[in-house]
Amino acid sequence: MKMVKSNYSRNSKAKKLKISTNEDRISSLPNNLIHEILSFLDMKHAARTSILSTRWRDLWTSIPTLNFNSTVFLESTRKTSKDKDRFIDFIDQVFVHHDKSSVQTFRFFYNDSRHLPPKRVYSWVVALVRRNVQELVIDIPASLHYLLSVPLCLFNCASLTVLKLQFERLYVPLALPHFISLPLLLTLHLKSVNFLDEDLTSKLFSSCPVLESLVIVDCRFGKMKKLIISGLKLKHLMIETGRYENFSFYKQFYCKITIFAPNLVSLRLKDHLGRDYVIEDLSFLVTADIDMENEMMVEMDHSTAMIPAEVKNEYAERVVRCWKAVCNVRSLTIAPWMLEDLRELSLIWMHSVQLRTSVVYLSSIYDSSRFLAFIFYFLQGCLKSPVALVEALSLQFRNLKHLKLITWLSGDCICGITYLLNICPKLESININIIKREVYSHDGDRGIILSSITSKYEGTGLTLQCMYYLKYVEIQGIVGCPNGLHFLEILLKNALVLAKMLIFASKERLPNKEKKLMRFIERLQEVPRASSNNAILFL
Amino acid sequence: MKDSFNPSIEPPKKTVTLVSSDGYDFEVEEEVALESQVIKDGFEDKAVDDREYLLFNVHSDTLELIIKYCEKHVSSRKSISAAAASSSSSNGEEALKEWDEHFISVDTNTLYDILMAADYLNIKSLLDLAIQKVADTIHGRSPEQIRKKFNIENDSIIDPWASE
Repeated sequence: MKMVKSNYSRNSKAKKLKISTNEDRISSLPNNLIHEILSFLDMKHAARTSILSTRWRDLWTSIPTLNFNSTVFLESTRKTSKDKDRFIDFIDQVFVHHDKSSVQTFRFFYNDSRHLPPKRVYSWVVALVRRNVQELVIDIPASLHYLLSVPLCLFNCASLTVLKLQFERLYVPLALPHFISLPLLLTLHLKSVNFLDEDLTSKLFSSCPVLESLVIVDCRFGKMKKLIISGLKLKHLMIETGRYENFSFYKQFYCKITIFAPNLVSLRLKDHLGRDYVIEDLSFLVTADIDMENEMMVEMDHSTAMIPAEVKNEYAERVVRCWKAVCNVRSLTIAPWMLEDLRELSLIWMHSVQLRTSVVYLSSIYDSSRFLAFIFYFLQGCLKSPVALVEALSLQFRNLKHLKLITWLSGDCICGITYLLNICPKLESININIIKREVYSHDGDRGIILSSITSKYEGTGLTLQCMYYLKYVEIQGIVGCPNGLHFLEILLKNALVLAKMLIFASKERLPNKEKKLMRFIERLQEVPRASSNNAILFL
Repeated sequence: MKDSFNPSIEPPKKTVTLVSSDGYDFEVEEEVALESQVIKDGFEDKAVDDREYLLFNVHSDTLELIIKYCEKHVSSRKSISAAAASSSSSNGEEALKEWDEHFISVDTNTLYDILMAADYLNIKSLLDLAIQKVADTIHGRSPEQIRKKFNIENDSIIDPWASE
């Protein structure tokens, strides 16, 4: 910025600026700006401005945004049951007094154990649909013990652009009309609702032609067998499922989810590997966060917390199919179970290759530990025959630059990571978070958490190819165990241009932690490095 | 931007002149001026050599602040997207938020000036920032405290909502 010429002298300007500080400037603001200001406030405070002066008396009745928050409302009250009832009455009163025929935004936040009359909520929503509401947020983090219901007319609200229905373990049944039309809906968040009908639920998503952001958290799929999420404009998709308490019930009903969103930019999936995902063509995806857990209700060997091999194989296939779908991403986050299951996958490959190939030297060295290494090179290089798994074998993250891994760095995990790094030729940075391996299982009727010792890393013959782009590595949660050292050794040997490696020690209190870490650091200094000018920092 | 680019390599930036209500000329880079939706809307209609905007409602003191805000936002938007493209992790958005917070911590009169100017020039993010600041001042204050804070004279007679 340059001030180039001045027609007045500085002094005269300063004089001109002198405005009496006792002036009531807020009241002289135009109505639309005061409405904007009041829209940022909770309705309780907004309504209270009516007693400031005659100028303010009716201003609040025409604000476009209505924010109701039970916590704010009960702030300075004694929080008696009468006060709590008054909150509900207050909302009714506002509907009566509000003089605008349309409401832009209605946000309702209720965090109180007291009974919330479902019929009132229902009628507010109906009233809002009539008033052409654009943004509707109902957020009830309190655990209620009765069900609310969502009026059908909401799904034909032509003005709606944002709809967020967020509950806490309430599983509100989402009854849908046969005709759904939400022509302007951009954002849809559903938390803890219970989808009822597979056709109508799929229709809900396909009936939002401009939907850009879809969030489905902790929802139940009831008896649905399949769900199709399709959206040509969809950019952000997040699906998270919580832990199921009732294992036997949900085991039978695992709703298959098909995602058809060709323009998706970011994807987050947190689910169980028991669920089948079909994800089609995501060529514009930039970030993916895939956090698939192993099945919890599968019979597990409680001593090792391992699951049966055939189930594991199935999971491994799912992992690869899922990765295949997101293989164009630039930034990827992966959760531990998926890595561990990859070891099994390599075995499937081994067998499938064995069936197809007649390459003699491979069979001659079968049984040797070097075999796997050959397989991996072999698979990446020359396999092109159209067998079902070949697709998985040709998997490569061509554009991936940033990888984040959450892992417990067991021997199997290191195998999985090594494989993964080999198929990410352009990788520039890795962020690894080492956590404890905890398994949630069930013993009779109750769920238990098993914390198991991770397997030792043994050389499998699987080697890491040279990494030509890897510049930055960050590792959190190092406890000084041999697995960690092995892994870093593999990395340092092969990362040719590594510039910086940050290592954060685990915050956990462990016996001999200091000593172990010291030894760890000493040994790490001796490890040969491929990159000449890298810095390793311990923090 | 000035810091991150070598001016000798960069081609000369196109500039726009903004004239404040008290007659000061401010020469700013085009992209900075385009932060204002009003200027952006009128931009296509303007002839190439006539890039002067008379802002009758904005005093030079306020305009100086507004330009400072727009410059900051243009440059940090660039650095955030640059950070996202390269491997370096950045907390650019948080830093900008902090900067905003500091920027808007001004006396009430200046705040109104910014509010009115942001509304007049239609700079949505700045308007929201200023409005949030006023709303924060109202929030949690009793009517009497609000009157005192904003110099509002109570001229009401009887109020049915007073007991609420």
